[in-house]
Amino acid sequence: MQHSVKMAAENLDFYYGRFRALESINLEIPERQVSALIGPSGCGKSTFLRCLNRMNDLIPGTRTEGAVLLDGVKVNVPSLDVVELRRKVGMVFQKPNPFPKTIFENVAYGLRVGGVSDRNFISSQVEKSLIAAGLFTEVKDRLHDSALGLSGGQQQRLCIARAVALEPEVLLMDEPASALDPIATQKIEELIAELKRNYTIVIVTHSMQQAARVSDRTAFFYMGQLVEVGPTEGIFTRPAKQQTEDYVTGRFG
Amino acid sequence: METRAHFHAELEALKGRVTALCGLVEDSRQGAVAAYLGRDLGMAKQVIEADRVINQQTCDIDDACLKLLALEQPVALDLRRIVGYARAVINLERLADEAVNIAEGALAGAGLPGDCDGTLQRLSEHVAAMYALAARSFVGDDVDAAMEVCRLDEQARELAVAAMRCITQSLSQCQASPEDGVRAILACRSFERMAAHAANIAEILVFIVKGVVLSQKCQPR
Ligand SMILES: Nc1ncnc2c1ncn2[C@@H]1O[C@H](COP(=O)(O)OP(=O)(O)O)[C@@H](O)[C@H]1O
Ligand SMILES: [Mg+2]
Repeated sequence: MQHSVKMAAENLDFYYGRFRALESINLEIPERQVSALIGPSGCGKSTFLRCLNRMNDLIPGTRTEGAVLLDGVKVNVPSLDVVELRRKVGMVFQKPNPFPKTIFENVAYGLRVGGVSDRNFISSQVEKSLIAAGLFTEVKDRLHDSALGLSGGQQQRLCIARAVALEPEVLLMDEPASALDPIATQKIEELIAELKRNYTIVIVTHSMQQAARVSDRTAFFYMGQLVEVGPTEGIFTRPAKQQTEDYVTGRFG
Repeated sequence: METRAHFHAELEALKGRVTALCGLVEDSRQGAVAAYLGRDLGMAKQVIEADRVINQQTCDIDDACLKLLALEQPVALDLRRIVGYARAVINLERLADEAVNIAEGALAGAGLPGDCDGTLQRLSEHVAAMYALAARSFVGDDVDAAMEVCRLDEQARELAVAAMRCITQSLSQCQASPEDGVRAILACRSFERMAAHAANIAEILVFIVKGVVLSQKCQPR
């Protein structure tokens, strides 16, 4: 099956002040596939992820060159509506960060902020999102309890529900399971496999096994450069570049 | 990302065991030739005796491969190496089985007089060269040597056909007893199988180093 390109980076450079954190990245993100970004700490994975929905804009002194495209349209132009971009390109962070509100309100939050007031729509959307995040059966009897009473894994799935409620097209996940225990991690990984039917997913992970398990394509970053990208199976059975080989086999000195 | 020094040391040790097994199998191969063509019955018994050790080593290496696969979840070159070793030891073990078959033939009776032993001699020398090269390619991760083994396999088949033609001819001219003739044909078949196992080992080495699976005519599949 051929997947069309949902997002792409073209000759993308990214600077924190004078420090160039990304160097001419060319990378296509296929639609309804899971793309994993791997590489040693500090190689630019999170920076790249944040370029995709312009979260880096929030950091002063940063600068982007080249292009980030969504459905072929350049998104790193000043005229673009960033709020609309972030609605289409949602994000889930490393540490679950629910608001100190009820479970229901956490999921409804984005809708309310976006100006939705139809109560029936909101509650059906909350339920749908909790189902999509694999959390509904666990919380349906305590939707109006505080989200802070949930376990770490449940909180992370709540954050996924919160992102999903806005009906994004792309979901960015930055080490979404790194703060979770193995069982909660497994649930997130199962969830990713479900979500890719409807969403394009980009996941940063420091666990290569996780990249191997959940992704269709894997991109290996090293020192701000994209070293190699390809089908995940190829990266983990016969990578083309020696650097990739050394990294995935744990031979990095 | 931490390096995996401990795991890589285990892989290195595994390679040492495969290398040692290559040596045992070479002893058996040489012994079988001496037993059959040199009529050395003591050697024949030694080859048969040695097979137990080879079988045991094969099982042990196979277990070690399985353990590393399960516990270390290797990828890329490490993965191909372990899978390759597990496949290679099967071929080594079978190559040694053929040596046993030849040795048993030697115990059962003499070879054929004259020309036919000459053709078998040429076949066995070709197999010796193929196996030596295969083992060397394996120990040294030498893809060029492995490709050469793969190419030599075609010639092994031709030499086997020539030897069998010689044997059937001498049978039809009543120059050999049916028993001796059949034994010679079986020996011929065993040498040909040895060549095929050597070629398989070489192909496995190419898979390990390059991640490419070879097929007919040594081309990537
Ligand atoms: N806010 C920031 N200001 C300055 N430098 C940063 C900032 N965030 C990240 N960096 C630097 O950019 C590089 C890439 O960081 P990052 O994208 O977080 O890497 P990764 O996610 O692969 O660990 C690192 O050298 C890091 O120190
Ligand atoms: Mg990061």
